[in-house]
Amino acid sequence: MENIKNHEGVKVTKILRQYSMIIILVLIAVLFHFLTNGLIFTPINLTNLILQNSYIVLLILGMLPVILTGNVDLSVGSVLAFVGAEAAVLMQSGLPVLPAAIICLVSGIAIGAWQGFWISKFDIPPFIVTLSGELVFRGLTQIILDGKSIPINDQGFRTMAGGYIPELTGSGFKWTTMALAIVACVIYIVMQVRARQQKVKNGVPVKSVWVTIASSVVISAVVLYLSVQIATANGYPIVLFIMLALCLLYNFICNRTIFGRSLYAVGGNRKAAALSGIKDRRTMFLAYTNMGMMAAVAGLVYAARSAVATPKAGVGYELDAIAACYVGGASVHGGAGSIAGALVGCFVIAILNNGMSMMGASPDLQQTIKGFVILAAVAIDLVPKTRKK
Amino acid sequence: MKQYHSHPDYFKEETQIMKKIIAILLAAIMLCGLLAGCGETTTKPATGEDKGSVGILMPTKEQSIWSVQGNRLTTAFQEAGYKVEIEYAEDDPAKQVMQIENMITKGVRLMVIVAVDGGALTDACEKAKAAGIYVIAEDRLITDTEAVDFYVTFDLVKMGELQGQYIADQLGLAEGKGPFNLEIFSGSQDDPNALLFYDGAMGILQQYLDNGQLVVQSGQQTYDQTAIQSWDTEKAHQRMDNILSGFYGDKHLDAVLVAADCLTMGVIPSLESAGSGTEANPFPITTGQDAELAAIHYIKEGKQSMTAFLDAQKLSDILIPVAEQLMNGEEIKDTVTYNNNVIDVPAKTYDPLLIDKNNYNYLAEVGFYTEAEING
Repeated sequence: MENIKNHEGVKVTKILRQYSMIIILVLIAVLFHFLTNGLIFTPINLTNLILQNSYIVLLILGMLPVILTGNVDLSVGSVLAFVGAEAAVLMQSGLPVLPAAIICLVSGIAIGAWQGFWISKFDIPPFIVTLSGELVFRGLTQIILDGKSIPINDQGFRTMAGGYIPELTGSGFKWTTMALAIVACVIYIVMQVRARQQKVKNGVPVKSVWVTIASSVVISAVVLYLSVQIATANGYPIVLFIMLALCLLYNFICNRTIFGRSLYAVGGNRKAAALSGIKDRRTMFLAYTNMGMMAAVAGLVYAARSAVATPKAGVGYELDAIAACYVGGASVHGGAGSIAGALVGCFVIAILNNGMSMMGASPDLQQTIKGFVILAAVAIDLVPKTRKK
Repeated sequence: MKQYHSHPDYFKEETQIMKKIIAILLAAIMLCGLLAGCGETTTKPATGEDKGSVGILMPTKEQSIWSVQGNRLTTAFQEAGYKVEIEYAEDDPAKQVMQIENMITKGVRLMVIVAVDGGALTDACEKAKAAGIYVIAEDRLITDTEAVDFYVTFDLVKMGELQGQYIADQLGLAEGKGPFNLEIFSGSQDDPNALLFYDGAMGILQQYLDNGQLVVQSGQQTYDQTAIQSWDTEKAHQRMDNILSGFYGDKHLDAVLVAADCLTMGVIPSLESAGSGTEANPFPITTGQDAELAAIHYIKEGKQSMTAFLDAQKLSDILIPVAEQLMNGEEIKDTVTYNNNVIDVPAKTYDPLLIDKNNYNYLAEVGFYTEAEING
């Protein structure tokens, strides 16, 4: 037992490698900070970044589990549009928001279960099943909307995606937001310390205490800085809490539950997982059912944000979600990846989009640059690791 | 042999095969039922006289403009005594080529085509020409071929002028008022029409930008800088967010030149979340085209200022006589021409109709929307 050390050495290269995508995120942010004369870190733009990517983040929470199993879901853009159309039509017919939203969520789960059924029961390749879903639900969206764009007027519903938490002190600076930020930082630090104590107690190797302190300080500082900025504008958007709560929940599910660990096992080696008693079919079924549900949540948020349901909504969003997961370090072969990584990946792409838009780059140029940067970012992340092997 | 058949295993296998065949047949019947239900082919002639059939090829059902035009043209041709075949191509150029080839096989006399991609129909149109079928391009010119007989279009540049003139009128630019802040949202760079809209609008507004009556605070005013890829509503929403946060923290935006409603539908929610729509911070003047339902609601609520409508009635009034004259071999008078890189295509244009808060009910009158859709 001599080779289990109580303290792992702090190697700069190792840290660089482990956090390379976060470093890339910071570099891109700093680069655009200068290119746009600081426009990117203005309070309102930070809020915009959250609002503009809320539905992609929600899609990621469905897509990452699917990617962990080594597959993808091509239908999410269409399901998002379908659910948005459903919501608009239901509300137009006079149904109140809550029942309409519940019906939409249930139909999202049903859509996911439908796809999961064909995938898990009959081993039809997920690519085919979800390609079918992409066509079916785009078609159904057009049928529901009859080629029209249906407006959504309910203010309460729209607040979900575009509104802000109420300011309790009533002052211009959003103290409520700041209080929440401080509470969040305290909780984060406490959890870090307790996790470390737990590891030490169980004899699990831990990093140097300075790494824990440094990472806590850096993360708290970033959260507080961004929150001060956001608090000088409108405060935290409501959708941020929906996103955060779900992100924490899914992080927990992926890391700490039987279902979550089954995802990794099935993606790593499905046969071995099945032989060791993991219900691989049920895992696949649940992964796709969950994807359907999250596509519905994203669809509702998207519809609330755009205040309109259009037949063209969500075209290509499946690729945005998949790209964010891969950029964030998920493996194409399954079995590797994390919610946190995918979020970093999402915001790398988000800042790229936002920054170039601020600069007034033309769309054709934007696409070209975005294409190269995505490749470069993943290459910087992966090439050193591959070489090491 | 009897024993062979009655052997339980073989029997079981056979029933399974039978089951499969029955299942497949049932599925096939269901599909046929579905297809028959959604089939677009209308073949009842309105009069006894057989004038043959015409084909109508529309780009997509996703935008109501095409389904309304498709319906209107179908009715108009039927009233004139023709059978009508109509297809929608789901914005897929390859699918549209296939649909054109199918129409040729069916033996229509004339095709009205709204191209998904005007450059992708060269071969298909030449096949039609070889089969003696007349081709009328509608709204989007079919390029790089001489196999297009006529072009009926709304005036693209005039559409842009309509939008630009509306802004100039509302702001009182001709009377020298100003300076006002303007932002510009143009269409997709892969759509050649988008540039014509921009040019049309700029033909009116450029002089006021030059003399400082109009100021673009973001500095983004060229066609390339203001283009929105794929006419994407969400991209327009994001660009408006970004411009408002970056350049209008302490300034008021007075007008937004927006090329079409699908972009305005992104611009308006962005303005709303940035606090527009109050006494102190009224909505800027916003333009559009296509008369999308959500845009009509925005106009009704005073959030969007205007849109422009391609009146299918105006279109069919021009197009049906042209089609008949072509098929009867008569000369068509009063034409202009559009160059499609190979020939000058004879053409007729119809004017877009300006829709604002004073006349949006017209859309219910012509059946573009129902009364309930607009006022419900």
